[in-house]
This record gives sequence, structure tokens and C-alpha cells, in this order.
Amino acid sequence: MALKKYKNLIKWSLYVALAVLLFCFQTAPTKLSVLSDIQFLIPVVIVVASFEKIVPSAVFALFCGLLWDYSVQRQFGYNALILMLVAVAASLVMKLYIMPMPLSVCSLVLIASLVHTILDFFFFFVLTGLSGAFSIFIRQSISAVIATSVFGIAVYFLIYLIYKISPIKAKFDID
Amino acid sequence: MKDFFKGKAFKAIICLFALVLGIIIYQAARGNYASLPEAVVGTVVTPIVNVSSKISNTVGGFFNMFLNAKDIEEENKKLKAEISELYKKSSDFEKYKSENEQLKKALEIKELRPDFEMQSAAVIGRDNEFNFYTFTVNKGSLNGIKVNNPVITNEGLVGIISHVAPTYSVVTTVLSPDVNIGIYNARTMSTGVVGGSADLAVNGNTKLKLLPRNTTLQKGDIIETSGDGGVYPEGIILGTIQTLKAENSGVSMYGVIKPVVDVTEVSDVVIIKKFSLKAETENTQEEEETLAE
Repeated sequence: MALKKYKNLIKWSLYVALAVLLFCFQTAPTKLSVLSDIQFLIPVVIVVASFEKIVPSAVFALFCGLLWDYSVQRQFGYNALILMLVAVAASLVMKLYIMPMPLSVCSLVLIASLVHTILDFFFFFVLTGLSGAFSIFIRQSISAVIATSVFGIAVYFLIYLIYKISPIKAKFDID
Repeated sequence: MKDFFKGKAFKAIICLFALVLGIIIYQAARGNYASLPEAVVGTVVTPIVNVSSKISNTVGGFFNMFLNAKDIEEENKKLKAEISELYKKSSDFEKYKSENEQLKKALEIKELRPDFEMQSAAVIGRDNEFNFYTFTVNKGSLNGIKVNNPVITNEGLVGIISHVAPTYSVVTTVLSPDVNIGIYNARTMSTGVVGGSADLAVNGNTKLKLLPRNTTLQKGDIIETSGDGGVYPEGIILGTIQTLKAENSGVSMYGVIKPVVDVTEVSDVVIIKKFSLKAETENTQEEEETLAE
């Protein structure tokens, strides 16, 4: 029992370390231009939610969202709320309807990234009435969504390796 | 699915949701200064991001040398052409220099701004979402930084502090529509307002708004801050006019401004914590004396 708790602690510590590392990539002032569009934290949240139980996934998503809020000029807590809700939804879908396979997880990452981008576009561009906002959405946001979902495949395998340290026995328990 | 809504997990999620909503409302009430949850997150995360930004600057610079070789070659050719043009202009330099010295003595223009109280800062993070290239610096309220402090480099204006936490601050750049800067052009003595535009910001440009149709400004004119409004000190170079276009309404014109500082590449900035409107005060005193006579 003690060994299981110890393995669980290591697993979640590695999840947190990976999230912090990818957050640093996301906000790095100088990086390769090919990486500048990727929203690194969304795949991490979705993949962890796909493998783990709902409440721990929600707390982890909350942590990732607060990290993201630190770096953006949005209302503090905005990304935390969205990532938490997206993680809960992803966890429910994976528990009840589909298996956590690379393609299904990648699809969920695509949907989550699209939802986040659309909400962003709506609240911070459409509602504020900025001219030229739609062209930015088409030129930059769509490419970011696609890049993020492709990156999700790499994150899937990375997190699957970490998950194997202490896998959940009853995958379909909701509590 | 119904079991989920009846179970403890759903109640836990609702509690978390309420907690985050509370944080959002609390932060909204605080305005542009960081609330306690944000300050805690920032204090823990800033040292990590500080280290990672230094690593990424080194690594990114190394890889960019290979990835951007073609761009570097083109820029090299362009710079060589500029240098040859500068050589041609250098013969007039001495003449303008002596004329400038005389004008400076006559108008008492100060070269340096001893009235500036400044704080240097390093860029430690950039907004990954398209938000007009907003970035985070590693100085905050503990260093005396306040909201609306102007941010500059030795080349010119970068932006303004829009959000302050104890150990870090967020800078909104001159490309953002949230920023309105009173400007001045020395050649035509025109004034105006510069504010960002989403479609121009994508190309790294900003907008000089509401110019009259008969404006005397032209491509290449240098735009600097006028000091009007008291937010930005006067005389800080903002950029140069790239082109002048008619607004959609046809009533006025606007100018596309290329900022002198590349806000996407800036790595070190200076935050002006305090500056005096000394020139304005002296002029006001002189006007009062003239009226009195």
C-alpha cells in the first residue's frame, strides 16, 4: 500500500514537472518559430485527464491553468476555469465512451484547443470590437490549433510512460 | 453518466468551479494589480521562468542562426546597401552637427533626461496567444513598478506596464489597441494619436489614427511621443511612417507606423518609474510672466 502511494506520488510529481517544463517552452521569449504557435499545456491536461480519475485531473488542469494565467494578459483564473472544465469533459468522455488511444486523445486535444481558441477570440476580439480580428483567427489561431493537436501525439506517449509507473486498476471508476 | 452527477466527484468539481470563479471575481475587483492567489503563483513561478528564459535565449539564438540563414543573408545585403547610403550622407553630417549644437544652446534642449527614474528589467516570458506580443518582465511592485509606467529601450518606446505583481509585471506593447499614445513629428510639427490595430499588429506595425486628408506627414517621418496626457514622457522615439492610407470612411487618413523597437525580439527593457513634466512647467511659468507684463 505504501509502495503504491509512493509510486502515485512520483507519477503526479512527474506530471507536474512535465507541465512546468512545457509551460516554460510555451512562454520562452526566444524559441524556434515552428514551436511558437503550440499551446503546450492543453495536450498535457487532456492526456492526463484521459488516463487519470476526474477529480485529480481537474485539480491538475486547475494548476496548469493558473500557470498559463501567469503568463498571459487575461483575467487571472480564466484559463484555469476553461482547462478545468475541458479536463472534466475529456475525463468523462474517456471513462464512459471511448478508449484512451493516440487518435482519440489527439481528437480531444484538437476539440479542446479549438474551444479554447474560439472562446478567446469571442471574449477578447469579437466583444471588444477589434477590426481585423477575423483575419487573425484564420491566419494564426487555426494553425495554432492544428499544431497543438499534432503535438498531442508526442505528449500522449510521454504521459503514457509516466502513467505506467502507477496505473489505475479500475479505469472506469468515476470517483 | 447519471451516477457521476449524483456522486462525490461532481460535488468536488462544483467546489473547484466556485473557487476559481471566486478568484476571477476577486482579481477583477483588484484591477491591474495582482491579487493574493496571482501573487503567490507569480512568486513561485517567476524564478523558474527566469532561468528558462535565459536557457531559451541561448538555445534559440544557436538554432536561429541555422534556421534563419537565408533571412540573415538578405538582411546582410540590405545593411550593406544602407551603409553605402550612409557614407554618402556623412559628408553633410558635420554641417548638421554644428547647426544642431547651436539650436540646442538656443532652445536649451537637454540631451539626457536626468528627470527619469528608471528600472532595468529582462523579458522572461511572452504571451503565447496572439495578444499583440504582450510580454512579462522580471520586476514588479517590490521594485517600485506601477501600472502605466512607460517601457523603453535605448532605441525607443516599447509599451506600457499594464499589470503589476510583486515580482513581475506585464507589458502591453505599442502594437496593442489598448494603448493610445500622443505623438509628435518634428518636421511638420504635427500631433496625433497612435494606437494599435489587429490587422497591422500581425505584421509588427501600429497605427497613427485620424489624420486629416491634407496631412503633411510623409513616408519616413519620425514619430516621437509628445508628452500630452502625462503618461509618456515627451521625446521618446516611437517609429517611422511606412505608408499613409485613407480610412474606410474616406473622411480621414491613417499612417502605418513601423516601431523602432522590434517588440517580438526585445530581451531587455527599461521601465520609467518617474519623470517630470519640467519643460511644460517652465513654459507655463514663462507664459504667466509674459501675460503679467
